[in-house]
Amino acid sequence: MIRGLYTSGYSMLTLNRKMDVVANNMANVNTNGFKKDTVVFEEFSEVLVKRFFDAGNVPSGRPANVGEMALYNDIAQIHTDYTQGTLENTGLSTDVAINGDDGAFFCVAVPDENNVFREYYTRDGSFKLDAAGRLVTRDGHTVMGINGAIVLEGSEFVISENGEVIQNGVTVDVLRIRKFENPESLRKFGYNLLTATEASVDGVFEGTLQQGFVERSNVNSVYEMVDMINVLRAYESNQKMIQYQDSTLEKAVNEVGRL
Amino acid sequence: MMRSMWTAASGMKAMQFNIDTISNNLANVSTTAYKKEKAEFEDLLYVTMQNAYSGVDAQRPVNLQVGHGVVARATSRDFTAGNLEQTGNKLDMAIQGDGFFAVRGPDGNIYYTRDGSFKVSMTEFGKMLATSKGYPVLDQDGFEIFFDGDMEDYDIQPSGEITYRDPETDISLPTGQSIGIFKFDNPMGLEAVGGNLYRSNTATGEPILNIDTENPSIVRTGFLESSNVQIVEEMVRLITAQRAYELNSKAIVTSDEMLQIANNIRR
Repeated sequence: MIRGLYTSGYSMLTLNRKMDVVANNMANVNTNGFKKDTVVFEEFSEVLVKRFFDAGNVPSGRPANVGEMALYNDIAQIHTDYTQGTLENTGLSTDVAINGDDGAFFCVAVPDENNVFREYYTRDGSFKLDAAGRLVTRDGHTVMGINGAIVLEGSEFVISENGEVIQNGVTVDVLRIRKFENPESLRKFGYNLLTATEASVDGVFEGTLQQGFVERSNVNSVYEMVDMINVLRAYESNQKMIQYQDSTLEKAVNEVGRL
Repeated sequence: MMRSMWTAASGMKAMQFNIDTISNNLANVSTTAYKKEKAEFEDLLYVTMQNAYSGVDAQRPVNLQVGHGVVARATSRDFTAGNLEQTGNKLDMAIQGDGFFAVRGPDGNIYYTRDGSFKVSMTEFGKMLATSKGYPVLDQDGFEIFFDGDMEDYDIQPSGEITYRDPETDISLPTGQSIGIFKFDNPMGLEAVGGNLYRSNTATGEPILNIDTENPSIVRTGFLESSNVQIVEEMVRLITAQRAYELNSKAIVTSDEMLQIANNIRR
């Protein structure tokens, strides 16, 4: 059939996936520490188009090159934008936000199915205390200090700008902050957690910690709306393209052959 | 059908929950010693999308993950103190600090409250200190507090100690009982049961007697603690929640339109 039919059809599928990503951003517009995803498109590798059937026009008799063209597009990458979200003042001593360093994360120990602890990363610093007085996430996972779990007595404590957890004048521990030079190498895990990959490179933490603040989502609803309208209209134009190509085919099938 | 529809639906559900929480805060703006709650959200699991020619490359340098929306994960209660409101009533008590009064509920279990609008209830054993609902207020050892004689002669000291002033000699003597005030290592873990009462559980840790703590709470008689809900803060939250709800509904409409467009490819 006509090549373009597949191109337009595939493009609609790709836009469908982009819509999934946009909808996920919108759903997380109020999620603490959420980082928005953006879709990067790529085209398929180009193909060389040749003139096969009018070879007679070419002196050599070989099909002539028309040029190169790409036939489809596809999603190449979901790029996560790690720009800092707005800091909201909550006044709670167990809320901490990382300020001024987009690649820095709190470290959380999460047991896997074999009860082996793995380190996950999060920007959501709305922590809690558990029954043993440990600083934990709302799912009960331990927040790591440089000496392991941070055990406190009650919720009266101070977290200094460089992460020292001070209670009754004594430095209990220092919050473990991991900085990545390339945060885009991290993978989202869900439940506000991220995992590092082999490509992740450590860096030096340059920001400060702010107690009594939480970092909101960095999703901007205006951008998302515009993105969504774009998706919808591009989807529509691809549909129209399919319809036009279908009418060409209709003509070819029904009218060219009419006697 | 489209994943984006379910994703957006999860967003709408979460925002509905958010509005539920906010309206409960707003409804309790005048409830004595009410502690505001805040809904907290987390993103749902991510899956890696199949790229048309990704094949088996497990270690892509860039990611290709799409999330499935959001889930309301917790409501965290903010136990910061509300304003103290003067009532002049001797049996109204407010706690300055982070302690709780202990009350025995009708099921015999001990509940904790910050609402100190106590009354005197007439029982077969005499006058008993009770909450507005008639639940006995407990002393430091978990016993009911009874009074003999004229209520005018009893005083409650800032430490919670109950003293009796002899009307003839005008000398104050301790009765040996004091208002039981308890603290928790993790008050956020307290479970609200309604009626301004909270229940302790494994998450809160064992109740600690006030006098055993480093910064003991102080009982202020003649005051009541007002709700710590800040209307402005709740209104801002309400607006963001409503707009987020709207935003997600727009995503559903758009997904629906896309499906319609797909259906109309064949004229």
